[in-house]
Amino acid sequence: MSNTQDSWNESGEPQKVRSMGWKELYLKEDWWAIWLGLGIVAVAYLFFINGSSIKWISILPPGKWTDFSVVTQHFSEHIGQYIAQFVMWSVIFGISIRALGFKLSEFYPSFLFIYICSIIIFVVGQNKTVVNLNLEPPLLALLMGLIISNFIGLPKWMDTGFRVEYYIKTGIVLLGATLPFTLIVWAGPTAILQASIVSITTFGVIYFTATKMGIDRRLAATLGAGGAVCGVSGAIAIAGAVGAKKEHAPIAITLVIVWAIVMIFALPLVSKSMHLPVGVAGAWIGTSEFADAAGFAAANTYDGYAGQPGIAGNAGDAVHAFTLMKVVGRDVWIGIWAFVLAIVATTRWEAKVGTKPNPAEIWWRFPKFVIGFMLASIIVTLIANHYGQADFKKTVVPEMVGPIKDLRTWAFIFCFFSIGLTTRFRELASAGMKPFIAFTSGVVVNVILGFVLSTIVFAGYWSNMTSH
Amino acid sequence: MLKSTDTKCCFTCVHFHNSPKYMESVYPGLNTLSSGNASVRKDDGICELHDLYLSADASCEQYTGDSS
Repeated sequence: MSNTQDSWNESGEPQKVRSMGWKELYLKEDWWAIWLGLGIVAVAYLFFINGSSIKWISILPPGKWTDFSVVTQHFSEHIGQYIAQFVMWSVIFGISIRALGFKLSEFYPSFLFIYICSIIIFVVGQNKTVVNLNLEPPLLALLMGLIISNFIGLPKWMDTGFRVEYYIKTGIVLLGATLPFTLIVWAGPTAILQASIVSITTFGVIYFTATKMGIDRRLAATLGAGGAVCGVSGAIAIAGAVGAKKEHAPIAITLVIVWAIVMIFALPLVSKSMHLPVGVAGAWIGTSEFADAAGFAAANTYDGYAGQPGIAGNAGDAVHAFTLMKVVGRDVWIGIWAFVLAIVATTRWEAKVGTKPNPAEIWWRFPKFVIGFMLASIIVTLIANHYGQADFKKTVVPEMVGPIKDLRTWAFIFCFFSIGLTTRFRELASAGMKPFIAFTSGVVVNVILGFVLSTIVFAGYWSNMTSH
Repeated sequence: MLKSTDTKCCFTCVHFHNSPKYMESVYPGLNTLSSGNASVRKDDGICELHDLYLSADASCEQYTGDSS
């Protein structure tokens, strides 16, 4: 490491970290999500080809229940599996969390809290009375986290275990193992087209509205990326690329979080009231949610409504459509947005302090976990090719793909609960009326345009996903 | 616009801070729907002199080498 990393704060932690180049492989959580996700896929495959399975350790609490004795019996019979699973998560997350510079003495108690609460969320969220209230586990996790963080409060050091992005990225890589690569190839171009139409339009609306109100162009671009590309990650990437003022990014962060949480609840409920097919709702959520983690919470919730009267499609279609739209259609372009806006900032905006735009920016800002997602999909699709469709469903799905999916479900619940736990409304920066109006104008256009494209223009694709 | 160099860039300047933990402490909510450790953030950080959030490879005339 560079000697400049010897700039320490009062706690003895470095205030500077150079993580580019090879160091990125162990200093960025995107890469750790790849190592963990693909590692789990590899272990699952090794167990499978040796006639065994990882399903023992990927156990989930019981499904929909009404009699609590079902729950007590389940845990009395399987408590050892839950302890083993907790140890497994603690070890694999612990190694990576330590490499990322966090203290294990803070991570372990925090993660134990998350794990125990996640079990409670699964159990309560599967109760038939709670299900009838439309409180699927993702919404319950978010609500529970919001209540704890805003009305009870937890020590700040516990944030070490509340790694929203790390959990969702790991979950997305695992998701790749359950999404056929043929589906990505079939629907990817449509997703990219639809997402591009919405992203460019939304960015334009926010940027135009903001600059017309006299907002600094760097803040306008930061807000635009937050609303149009990939939420807080988009905003922070563009803020850095254009050399925004220190206070610009927190404004965008506040607006993205507030609207993203509104959309987690609103999009599934509105979709349900309109009886949208599961895949169509997932595409709409993928177009109109701002952040991956928030969107997965909404899409997962809607998957839970599959099979209810009037809602066509299968559980899983919403998450699959969302992933194609958001991850493939929007996230992967963040580097190009950053590079183009860096050129504009340095050539047109007369940036006071800056650097010459470098095309390498496109790679450095690329959300690397997408590589893991694609690789996982390709690997499992290649494995599937060795089996007939009937054999695949009969043996590979229950013994290998199913357990990977169950572990993904855990990673997602850790994430959704962590969103709530880290959303402390009183700590968010004040956004101001003008940025709020500019961002909200983009939200309105984004939601309407996303709805029209998902339910009318490209509805044929998204309602027909299962056949591919 | 000033020219960036390998040595006299923001990363080696005393006014610049960019560690993930530092970023998450000064930007409340960054860890809610993103992360200080995300690839998209590259090595961007905060210049306390100009109050800017910018690339670690940027530079300016007020560069002050970190002698520690």
